Amino acid sequence: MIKLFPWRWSALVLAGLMLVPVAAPAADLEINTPAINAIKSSMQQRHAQLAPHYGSGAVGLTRDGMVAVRDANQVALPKRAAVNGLVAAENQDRVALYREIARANGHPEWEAEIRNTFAQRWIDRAQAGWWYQNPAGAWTKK
Amino acid sequence: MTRATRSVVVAALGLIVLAVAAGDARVTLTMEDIEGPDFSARGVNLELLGAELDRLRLVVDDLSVAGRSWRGVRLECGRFSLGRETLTCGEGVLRAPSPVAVAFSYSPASGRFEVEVSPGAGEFWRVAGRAAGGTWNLRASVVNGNPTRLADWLPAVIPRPREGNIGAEITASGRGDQWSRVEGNVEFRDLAFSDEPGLHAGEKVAGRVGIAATRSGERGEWSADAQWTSGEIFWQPLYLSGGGYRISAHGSFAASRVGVSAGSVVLGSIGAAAFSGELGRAPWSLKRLELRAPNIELGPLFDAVGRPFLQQTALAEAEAVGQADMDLLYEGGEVQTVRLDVRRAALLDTRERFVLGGVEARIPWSRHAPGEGEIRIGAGHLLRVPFGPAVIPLEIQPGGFSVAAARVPLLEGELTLENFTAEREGTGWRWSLGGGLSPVSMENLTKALGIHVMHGTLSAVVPRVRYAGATLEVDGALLINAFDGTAVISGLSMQEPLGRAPRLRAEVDMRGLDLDLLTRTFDFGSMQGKVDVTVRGLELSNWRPVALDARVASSPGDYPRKISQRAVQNISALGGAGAAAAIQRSFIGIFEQFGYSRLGLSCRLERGVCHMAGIEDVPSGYVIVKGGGIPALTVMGYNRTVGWNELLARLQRITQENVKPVIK
Repeated sequence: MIKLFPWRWSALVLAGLMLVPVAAPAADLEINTPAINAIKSSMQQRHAQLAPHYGSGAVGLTRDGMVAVRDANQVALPKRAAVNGLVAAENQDRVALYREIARANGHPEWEAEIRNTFAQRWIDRAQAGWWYQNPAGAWTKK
Repeated sequence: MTRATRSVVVAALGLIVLAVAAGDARVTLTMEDIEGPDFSARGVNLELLGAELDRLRLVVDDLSVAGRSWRGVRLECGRFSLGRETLTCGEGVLRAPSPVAVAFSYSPASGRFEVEVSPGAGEFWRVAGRAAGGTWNLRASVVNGNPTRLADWLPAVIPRPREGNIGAEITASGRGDQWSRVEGNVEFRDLAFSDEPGLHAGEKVAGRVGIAATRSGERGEWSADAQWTSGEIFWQPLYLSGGGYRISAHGSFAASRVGVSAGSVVLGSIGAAAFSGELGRAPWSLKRLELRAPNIELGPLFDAVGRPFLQQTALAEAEAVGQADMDLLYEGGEVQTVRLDVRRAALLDTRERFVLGGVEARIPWSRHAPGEGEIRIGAGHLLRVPFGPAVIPLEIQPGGFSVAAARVPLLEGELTLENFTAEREGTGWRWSLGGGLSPVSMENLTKALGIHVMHGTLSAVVPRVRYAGATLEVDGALLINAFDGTAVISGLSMQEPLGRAPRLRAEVDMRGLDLDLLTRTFDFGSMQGKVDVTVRGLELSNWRPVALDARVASSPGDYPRKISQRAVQNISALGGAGAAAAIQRSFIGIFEQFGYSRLGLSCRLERGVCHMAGIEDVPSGYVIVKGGGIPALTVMGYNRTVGWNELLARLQRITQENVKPVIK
């Protein structure tokens, strides 16, 4: 197996998630297992529902590679429970994604490193106007 | 109150300057510092102006009241009088810094006082009362009050009011710094409130809160009644709308506790509950709660309280009906007992994946002693497979529950459950069970499931299954009878079976599967014979194979081995349309069936690629079906590696390039 730095995986997976065409992954780079594909597909489908909430600031990207309800005031009361549900489901997928990428590459112990790398990559790729947590944990508008 | 006043006076340092000019008079009182409980004022300058000293101007550089601070506070009274008996301020304006109309009067002799503040048009906050001889009473009223003015005065844990309208009448009386009676009624409408992140918020909320309390020394009696009549509230994760909620209670209190001797709560269409209990003071804590909720409607309860916790699960689109009685006792920081009786209940999935009907349940739980309960299910279906009726006896322990044995009719067979035990482990559950399935017709089962109709019978023996730490493991082997053969699944384990990426590992050995039943099932054309299937190192990720070493081969033994013309054509079609057409044109087209001696195919799946082999290798490829009898028929494969997804696609099309029959 070729050992690659996790940021390269995250770039590939992120590109896949954001529907940006990329070249096929390098040989032996496992980001294409059924589990990872299922998680990516689930996240892509959910992204359309989450994107408006990233834009409004209701939901932000956390410094640990997850998402969180940042300001629910941006969402009508009857829909706040649904946003909570979206955030919970997205976080379940994200935890599973980091774990599966580590597992698929035969290094379960890399999970924390992969999560940290993804956390930064999600923020790097966030659109202008979205909110994220800076390294100190404070919400910042991109 | 008198003690506070005295301490303020003692702390005051002052300088009085009296100046009299022609036609004008001025009295100036300057105080550097005034301190009192929850009160301080620095840089106080009071002036009486005008020929009659009938105007007042008070400036406080820094004012602090109950933790709030203002700078540059100014009070001006356009009509001020300081008579023998009464001090009055009319046409007053208080600037802190925004201007607020204010008027007050105070009579030192009688102790009467009145303050009226009008911060907005038609909005009045009034306090009037009397303090004399050590006793006092007051009446406070609010007309068209804007609740946002209270925002900075509320404890941090209470969501801030954003808008709305409140009206209030509150009376209180007491002696010294002790109150003896309080009675109040607050009505609110169009109230909007929210905490900072918006997770506890309400809009257009209308209702009423009434309180009354009397005290003697440290002890007293109280009563309260609160109604929420309309509006919507989001209290994470619950969303409630429409009102119809009411809570009433009365009880007693002492220095360290507040008792609730009788309380009732009405929760809209969900039902009503009665409660009693005790709260500890300093710090506030729930000491005891006894709740009795008879005839709760499970439908509205599930909508309001259940579903928000079940988002993204199979129950998110379920609906519940039925009634339940619930009793609960909380004491000593823990729930002590719960009794749940469910009547005429049903749970149905709006997507018709499952239905559970005619549910009656009796579930008594105690922290201290085991109990016996029961769940009765009238009928149900899971993925359109009907089951029930069933009676499931429960043995309920403080930390879990168990079922010694239960039988659930399933189609014409029976699902048995033996020695089921479940216990809490951290925030999750650990459970184990054994059981089995007595024979059911595969035809009936597959028809009910709406999948390929299969023939034969299905039965299973389930040895011990254990679930703990998100991993499910089967001790021993799972034995299934299907297609007139046996399947033994051993080494079965599942990680996170209900998670996002479940993983399954198993070894599978199937012996003597009837090819006739198999081929009829998949409409493949008739084949007679028996096959063994061996799968080593099966690994599924998200229910799709990622690794396996599988082999299908003729079973040993003496049995008829026949293959129909149609099956030959279908196997041949794996070699592509051209090959099939070639057979059609050949002489074998006139025979209905043929003999064969052996067949076999294997696939070793690694990293998405299937490495294939047959029953024997030949220089050009491998043999899949070896002919026997006349005419002999051999099917060969040439492609030794094929992508797994491609293989599945080819099987679906029953076409496979590079596999073509050779007629001998």
